[in-house]
Amino acid sequence: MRPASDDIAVFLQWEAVLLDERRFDEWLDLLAEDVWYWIPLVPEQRNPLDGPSHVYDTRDALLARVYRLKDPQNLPQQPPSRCCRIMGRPFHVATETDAKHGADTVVRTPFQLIESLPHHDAEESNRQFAGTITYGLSTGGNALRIRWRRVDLINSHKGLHGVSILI
Amino acid sequence: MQYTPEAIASLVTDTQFDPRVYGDEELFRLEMGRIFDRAWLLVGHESLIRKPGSFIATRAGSHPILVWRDMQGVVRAFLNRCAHRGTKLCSQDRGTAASLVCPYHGWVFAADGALKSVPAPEEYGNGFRFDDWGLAPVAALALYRGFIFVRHKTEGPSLDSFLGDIRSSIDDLVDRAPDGEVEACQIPLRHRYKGNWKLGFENLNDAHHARVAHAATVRAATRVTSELGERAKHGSLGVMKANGMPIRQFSQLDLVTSDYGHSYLFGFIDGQKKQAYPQEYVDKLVAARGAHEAERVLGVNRHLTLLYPSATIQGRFQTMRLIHPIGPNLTEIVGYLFRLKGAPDPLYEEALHYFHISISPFSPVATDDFELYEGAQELNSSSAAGPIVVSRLHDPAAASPRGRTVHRGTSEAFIRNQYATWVSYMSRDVR
Repeated sequence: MRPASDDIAVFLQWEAVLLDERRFDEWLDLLAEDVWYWIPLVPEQRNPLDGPSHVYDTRDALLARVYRLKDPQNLPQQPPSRCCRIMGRPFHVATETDAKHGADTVVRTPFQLIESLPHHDAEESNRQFAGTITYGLSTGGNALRIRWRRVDLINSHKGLHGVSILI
Repeated sequence: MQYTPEAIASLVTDTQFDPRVYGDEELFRLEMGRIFDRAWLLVGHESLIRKPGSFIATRAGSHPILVWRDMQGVVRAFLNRCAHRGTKLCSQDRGTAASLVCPYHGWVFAADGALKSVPAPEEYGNGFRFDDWGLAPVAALALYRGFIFVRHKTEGPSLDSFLGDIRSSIDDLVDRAPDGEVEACQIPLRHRYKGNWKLGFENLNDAHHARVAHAATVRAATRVTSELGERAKHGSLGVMKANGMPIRQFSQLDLVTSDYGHSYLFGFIDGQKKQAYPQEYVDKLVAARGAHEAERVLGVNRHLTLLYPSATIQGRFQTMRLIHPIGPNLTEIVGYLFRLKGAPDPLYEEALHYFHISISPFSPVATDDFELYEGAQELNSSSAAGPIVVSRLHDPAAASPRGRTVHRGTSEAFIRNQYATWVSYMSRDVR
């Protein structure tokens, strides 16, 4: 297992901070123009068209999710959830998707996300997500960019309650 | 509280019902026995158990069941319970096996339900006969065009008369396949909400709410398309925007109710599209079925069909949802997406996007609905809660609808029809 460079680790840490702090415009700047944002249903899926997923967004659909999150009338986010993402150390992996989709580097990190839900009392308000995020990155040029992003949740095949944040 | 038939009937009037129907434990228990044990319940599709020995473990009402294709190819369904000490026979969600071994004492059951072997059978006594201890089959099982229905009581209407005219919504799905066959995704997409099963049934054909409840999503998708123009082409954007259609347009759609609480709403999602279907798909359907039949098939335009009390079907979007009531305050939805055999990939891709945006717990549309369900569940458990009002587009002069009846798209008639059915099931004791 080959660890990713510090540059990549810090970049992914920064991505998590931007999402935690709901700095969505800055987050969008980390994504390539033709980004995929993918949350498959099961780990065996090889590409986003290989059976149903939870999310398979290209930039246009992802933008709609972001605009909805920023909308004060967004029903399940009044007030917005507060989130804390804990990212592991990223390491290089051979790409397991059928196409690299423009990425020259593929890294994966285990992560945990704790979401404090609105509208719930203290005992049941902290909800956890865990799994891995696999990133297809382009590292050439001036800046790191996310070409695709695949989130494998350890409970993605179970009956989850509604999720209205970005994971 | 004791619910006599009179007490049940008093919970529902033509245009109102008592808020206790959502949260009351005793009513939920009665619903499981009187509705879910009596109605035909959709539990799956043949394509999920294609090979001999293949099975799925699922629920039918309150009962965990195994739907199992035996080695002769016959589809069967049993309580997922060992006939000996009542433990769960199979913990896998799906698989293929000619027989299953109970993990407790090793009783072995064949795919046709027969008890095949028992370790040290002599210990069970001289009178022990294997024939007496097979798996408990469901009382009735029937298929309609590959869709598997079960019922827990022997007596009741045939599946044909239970479905009535609404079977045409299953036809609508299967007929769309150029090869005449549909195939369900093997692993379903699930979500849960903290609310009663009926809340979902009262929402999915409610065209009036879409523009209000999903306003933020409509705004978001509209903004993306105005900013990106032609580059905004993701399949979900049109679905999100369609929710913003003016109420008067929704009201011009047809809403059809029928016996046993079923209903369907005409389609609206394709409304703004230049061409509803990829040309390649239309060509394949015409080649397979002829121009006339292809035109008829694609001319059917239904958004969603509610098969009361267990499922929804969408031909246009190739989906099936199974509704699993877990408790009065908790419901699981199990979503299956179908491939139309012989149809080209772009059609499947479009259906995938629709599936994600309507059935995933991450859906930017459905998450609005969950929020509403959960709020309703909480507030209707209050003893101060007044009645639920479902009077929209009710005509007090009209007789209560029988058989296939057409209403305006924004009518609450489908909910009134569900509660008339509810009272009819609930006020009769289970035989």
